[in-house]
Amino acid sequence: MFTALISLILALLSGLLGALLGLGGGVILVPLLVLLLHLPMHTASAASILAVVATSTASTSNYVREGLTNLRLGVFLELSTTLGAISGALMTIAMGEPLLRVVLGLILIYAAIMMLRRIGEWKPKVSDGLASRLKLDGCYYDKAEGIEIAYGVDKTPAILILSYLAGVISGLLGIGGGGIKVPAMNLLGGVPMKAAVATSSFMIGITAAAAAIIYMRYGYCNSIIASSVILGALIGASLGSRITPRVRSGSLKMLFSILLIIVGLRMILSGVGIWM
Amino acid sequence: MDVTLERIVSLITRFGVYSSALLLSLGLSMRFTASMRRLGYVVIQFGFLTLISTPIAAVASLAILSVIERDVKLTLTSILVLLILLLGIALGVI
Repeated sequence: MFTALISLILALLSGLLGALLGLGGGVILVPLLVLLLHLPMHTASAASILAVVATSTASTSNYVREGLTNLRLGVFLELSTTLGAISGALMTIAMGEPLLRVVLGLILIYAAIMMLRRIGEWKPKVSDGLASRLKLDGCYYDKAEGIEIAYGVDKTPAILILSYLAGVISGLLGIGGGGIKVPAMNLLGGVPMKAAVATSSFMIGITAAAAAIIYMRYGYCNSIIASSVILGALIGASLGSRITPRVRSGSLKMLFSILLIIVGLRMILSGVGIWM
Repeated sequence: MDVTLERIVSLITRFGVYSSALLLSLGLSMRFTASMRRLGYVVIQFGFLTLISTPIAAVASLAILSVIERDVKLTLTSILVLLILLLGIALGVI
C-alpha cells in the first residue's frame, strides 16, 4: 500500500513536471522509481512505459480534436519507430541492469542539454519527393496567432531513421522518445513545433504500446506499481496542462536541467559500480 | 475525410483512456481489499489491455477509414504498422 502510494505521488510529480517542462514523464519517472523506491530498472521501465501510453494517448485525444496532429506523417514514421521499439524492448531483456543505468544516465544528460538549448526558429520547408508522394504535408489553425499554418515535410528519410532510434530508446528504457522525434520533425523536416509535438504524442502512444506488450509478456509489470503509476501520471499531466499557461518555465527549465545532469551522472556512476 | 478521421481517432483515444483509468482505479482498490484481491488483479490486467489497445485501435480505425475512402497510400502505411505489431505478437517476439 505504501509503495503504491509513493509510486502514485512520484508519477503525479513527474507527470506535472513533464507537462510544465515539455518533456515526457518517463525521463523523470524511471530514475525516481529506481533511486527512491529501489525498484529494478525493468520494473520501473515497465510501469513508466504504461504511464507513457496513458499520458500520450490522453493528450493525443485533445491534439487530434484541435487538428494539430498530422496523422499521415505520424503513421508513416511509426513504420520505423515501432520496429525500433521492438528492438529496444528485446535489447532490454538481453541487457543487464548496470548497462541500462549507464544508457539512462546518458539519455538524461542529453535531455538536459536539449532543454537548455534554444530550439532554432522554425522556417517553412517544401516537401521532398517522398513526402509529396505520400501527401505528408499538413496545415492547422493556430489559435494563438489567429492564422492557418501550412507546412511541407523535408528530409523524410533522415526523420525516418531518427524515428527508429527514438523507438529503440523508448523500448529500451521505458521513455517516450519525444526528445528525439520532435527536434527531428521540427528542425530537419520543417514541421511547426505545435504540429511536431502533437504528431510525436500520437506516435509515442503507439510505440509505447508496442514496447509495453513486450514488458508484460516477460512479466516485468507489477500490477500494483504500474496501475498506481498510470493513475498518478494521468492526474499529474492533467494538472500540468492546466498550470502550464500560468507558469514561467525559463528558470524552472534551467534548475531542472541541472538536476537531470546530476541524476544522469549518478545513474552512470552507479551503472559502472563507482557509486551504488 | 481528414476531419471525420480526426474526430474518430479523438473519440477512440478519449474513450480508451477514460475506461482504462476507471478499470485501473477499480482494480487497485480491489487489490487492497482482502476478499477481492484476485478479482482486482484481473480487473487491473483488463485495464492494462484496454490502455495498450487504445493507440493500436486508433491506427486500425485509420486503416478502415482509408479503405472506405480509397486512400491507398494511407491504407498501406497503417496496415503495415499494424502488421509489424501483429507479426511481432504472432512470432512470439512481442
